[in-house]
Amino acid sequence: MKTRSCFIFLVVITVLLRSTVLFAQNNFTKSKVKAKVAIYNVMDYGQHIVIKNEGNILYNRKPNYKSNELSMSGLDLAVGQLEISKMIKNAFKSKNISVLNTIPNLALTLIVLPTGQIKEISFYLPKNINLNSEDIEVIEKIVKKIQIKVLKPELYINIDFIPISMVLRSRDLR
Amino acid sequence: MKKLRHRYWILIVVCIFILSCAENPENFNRESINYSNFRSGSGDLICKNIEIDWWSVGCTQNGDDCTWTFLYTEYKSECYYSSSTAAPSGGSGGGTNDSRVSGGSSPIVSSQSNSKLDKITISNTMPLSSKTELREALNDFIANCLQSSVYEQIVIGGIKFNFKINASNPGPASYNPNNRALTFKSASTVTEEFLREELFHGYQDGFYLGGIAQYSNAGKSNIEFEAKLFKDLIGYVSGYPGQVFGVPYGNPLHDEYVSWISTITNGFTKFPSILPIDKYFYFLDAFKQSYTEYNTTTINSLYPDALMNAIKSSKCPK
Repeated sequence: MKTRSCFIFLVVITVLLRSTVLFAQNNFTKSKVKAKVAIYNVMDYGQHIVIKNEGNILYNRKPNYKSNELSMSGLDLAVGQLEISKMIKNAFKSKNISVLNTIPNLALTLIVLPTGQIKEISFYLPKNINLNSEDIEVIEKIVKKIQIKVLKPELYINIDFIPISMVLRSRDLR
Repeated sequence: MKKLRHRYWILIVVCIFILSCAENPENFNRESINYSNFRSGSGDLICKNIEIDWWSVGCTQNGDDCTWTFLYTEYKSECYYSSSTAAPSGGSGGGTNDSRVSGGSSPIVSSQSNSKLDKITISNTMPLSSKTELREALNDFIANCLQSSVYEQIVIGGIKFNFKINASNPGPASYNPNNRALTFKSASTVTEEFLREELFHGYQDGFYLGGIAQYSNAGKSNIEFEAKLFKDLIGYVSGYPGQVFGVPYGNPLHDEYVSWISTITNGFTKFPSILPIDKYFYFLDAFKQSYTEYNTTTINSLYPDALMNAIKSSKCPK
């Protein structure tokens, strides 16, 4: 009898732990959210949200080149992607491992200057993501510290900025 | 009492196992090798095209499900000598007398990219160094599961191209359906990055009845947007960082477009098996606003069937 109740208890605990993802709360219900320092604008697109620092100014500007004609081979994006994933992983490892374990693929748009500096970031996230504005602030700070290596600067002469889409795989963040 | 305690511990272990299976990604690769034989040259050299499907190293949480994500397909060619000059080239016809050169000679492993390029070539007037670049670009192209599907469809459809370099080409690369010319502007643009769209246009040319030359005006936006969406799906699902082409940055609908891609790809984890067509045309209109050169009449009955066929025929997650 005692064994059976123990079993039921453990099964209930297991189910509850498994369903934490299902019941992940949405921390971005308002169109503006405040983190420790920064304020973020939140755009709602049904199942997804787009989060941008209120200070971003380039998000509605058209790049001054034809996207079809610009090669990305002059930027070491693959290494940048690995570096970003690694740094986010390390930052969260010490902070809150449970958050990182439930994190989905993170899609970012990085506004990269011809020097390789990451100037602005947009986050494309599922609405029920288990991150809050302070986590976003941490990620933003980490990403902005990274410098994309410019392999062929001659490709980007006279270019104001280059928007780069990048998906960080959940498996690389855990 | 001791027995009860034992059972209790077994239950705890079972529960921990269930939890760890569900929450923690386990690293593993599953390798499946498919052989497709083909004869190379006129001698006894037999080459096998080996397709290696690498599977995920972890699970992506999808609601309460765990989606094992597919990574990529690799292609390798393994060549070896046949003991018989009359060995059949695979398929039916009885067993072959092929035997791997062993006992001192290991199989010759070489890249058969030349044959891959030959399969889709009518003519190639590029300089030798650019031909090498093109072979490498094609290899990179085929390394992706969806692009590999496009390549296979091109080969199956018997579509072949006239590869050339022309400094007066308006863009880095172009495809002309009237003469099947796949032209690069210079040696520096002979890359997978620029080959991607042009090969897709070549595939569209073979896929759509009557070819795509008929869409040089009305329908051009359909053809171009389909190619741009193809590139964006590759970027997001296969994880290649780069530009967004369908509804590019600076367009007021850019964020909505990226969110839509996330929706149809289940959070950038798989290619869409169904494409909501109303949204497709909604973003096609936005695409036309960003590219004045493609702002032509949309054909509302011209669906992205070539793209969906490539996805359906592929071994990609979908």
